[in-house]
Amino acid sequence: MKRLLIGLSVAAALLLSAPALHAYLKLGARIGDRVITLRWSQQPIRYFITNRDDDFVNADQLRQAVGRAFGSWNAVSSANTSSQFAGFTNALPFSDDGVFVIGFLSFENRPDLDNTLGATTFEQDDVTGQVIAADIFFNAGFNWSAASGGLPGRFDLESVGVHEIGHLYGLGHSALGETELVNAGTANEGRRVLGKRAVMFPIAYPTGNIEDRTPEADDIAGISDLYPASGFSAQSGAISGKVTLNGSGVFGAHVVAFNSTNGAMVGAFTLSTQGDFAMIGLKPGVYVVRVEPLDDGDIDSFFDEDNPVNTNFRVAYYNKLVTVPAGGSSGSIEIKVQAK
Amino acid sequence: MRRAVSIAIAALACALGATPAWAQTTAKPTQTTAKPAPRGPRGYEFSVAGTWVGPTSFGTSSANLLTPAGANLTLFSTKNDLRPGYGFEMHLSKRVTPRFALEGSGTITHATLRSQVTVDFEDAPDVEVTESLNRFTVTGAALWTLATRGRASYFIRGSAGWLRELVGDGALIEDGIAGDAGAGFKYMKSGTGRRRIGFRVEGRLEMRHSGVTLGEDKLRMSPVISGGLIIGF
Repeated sequence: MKRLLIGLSVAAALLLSAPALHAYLKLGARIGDRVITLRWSQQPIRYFITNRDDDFVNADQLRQAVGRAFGSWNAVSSANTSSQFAGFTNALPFSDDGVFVIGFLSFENRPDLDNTLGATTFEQDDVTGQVIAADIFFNAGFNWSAASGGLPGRFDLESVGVHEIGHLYGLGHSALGETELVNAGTANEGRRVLGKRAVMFPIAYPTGNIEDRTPEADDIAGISDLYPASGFSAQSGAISGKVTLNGSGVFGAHVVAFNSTNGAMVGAFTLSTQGDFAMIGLKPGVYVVRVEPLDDGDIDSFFDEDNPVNTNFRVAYYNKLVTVPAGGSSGSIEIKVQAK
Repeated sequence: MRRAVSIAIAALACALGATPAWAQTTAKPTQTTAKPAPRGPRGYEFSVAGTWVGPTSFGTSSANLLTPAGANLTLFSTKNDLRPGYGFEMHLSKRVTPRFALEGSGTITHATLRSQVTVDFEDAPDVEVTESLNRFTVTGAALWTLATRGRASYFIRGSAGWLRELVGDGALIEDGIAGDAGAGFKYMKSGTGRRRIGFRVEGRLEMRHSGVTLGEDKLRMSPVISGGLIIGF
């Protein structure tokens, strides 16, 4: 067995540069020359809660918040996911024990985690890629809240839990958000959320906010793709195509489909040097499709460092409305962008 | 005029109901001095017409992100509509009383869905994106002749029925409800033998619900003008 650590962070300001990160819409693990989609083959997922209190949240409040966070994903009608609380444990997350543990952790000598609210790690079979175990930690260096309405000055445990459990189920980061740089050029440089529309956006809302407790359309499309409920494929559709710049494919472009009927947005990335993308789990209808460079978060939180992500192009729209049929695809579209 | 309108609406309601109430009573001429509209000897008319359908607004819709304060941050906005379209329609009508007729109608129209994308958060230029739409309707209608002047007659008409819309070369198919209300004019020339020919022009206000939409799914209205030939037999 080989332990693969996938550090998936939610940061208040600055993101962790995560090692060995393979974040697509779906997470993947590189096994040899293959990338295997991270997916739980057996459910319910059984998890333990570390029996250790935080300064503001005790272990039982953590259990309840985590239970509600699991419940938010498990309530998605177009996906089949389930979970089960297995009990309290003295084990800590991030320990190579083959058991799925969720708990608080303190990091005395990890300045790289100073701005990380939480993370999810996986233990996978290095031959088959099958998930053996996982852990989720919440950084005890922050002030947490498990209150139903949130509390000023404290991060909402349930919201961050929903994000981390999204990773646990295999979702990567979404780029459906806008940020701005703060404290640029200083040691405290980071990004502040201006707005977002996905629980899986890598940067959290500030303290006191509880908006991330409910998966959005982008999150729902992703979880439904990984664990489709009966009839999901027949009832939803897809948009596929490529993004090109001067005739060449663009890697790492963020493509967003907007359904003006219900206001829903679903995003995807171009994942090849040919600029290919595929966006699935869309409600049948007519869409406006927009493409933008990945400039609202550290690229490391979306892709491996060795991927040639191109951010040197302007925002553009596909020149037609895109029709998404039930159980089918739009047919390949080409979105042409121009360099900045 | 007021009485004629109320009768026409009543007739339409009956036509929509499960029981064809109009068939259970003997239609009597209303209090008017106008003569029945000239038709073919068996009271049938078949008409084919070209149709122009006016624009339909679908309103505006924005791609909104949610700010930390719970407000909307607009990524971009869209103003959506169905551009004016054209097509043709057919009607087969049967006179029930000297003034009242029932029609079965079918229309095929072609138009363009349009979204005008503006105020991009990252200052992308405004764009207009479109897609073609084909609409088919099958409706039942009630037609009431208001007055007859020689070979010409004036009528009001109301219909209700089913629509199907196809977008993207038929990739997306959506069904809905269609109806209209309007008024028109017919002129029948003398024909030979058992047939008469003439022409028909009308204007209607078309109403539709569901089908393909860009924006909130609600009742939409657009003007329709049609004109074509009639064969009476």
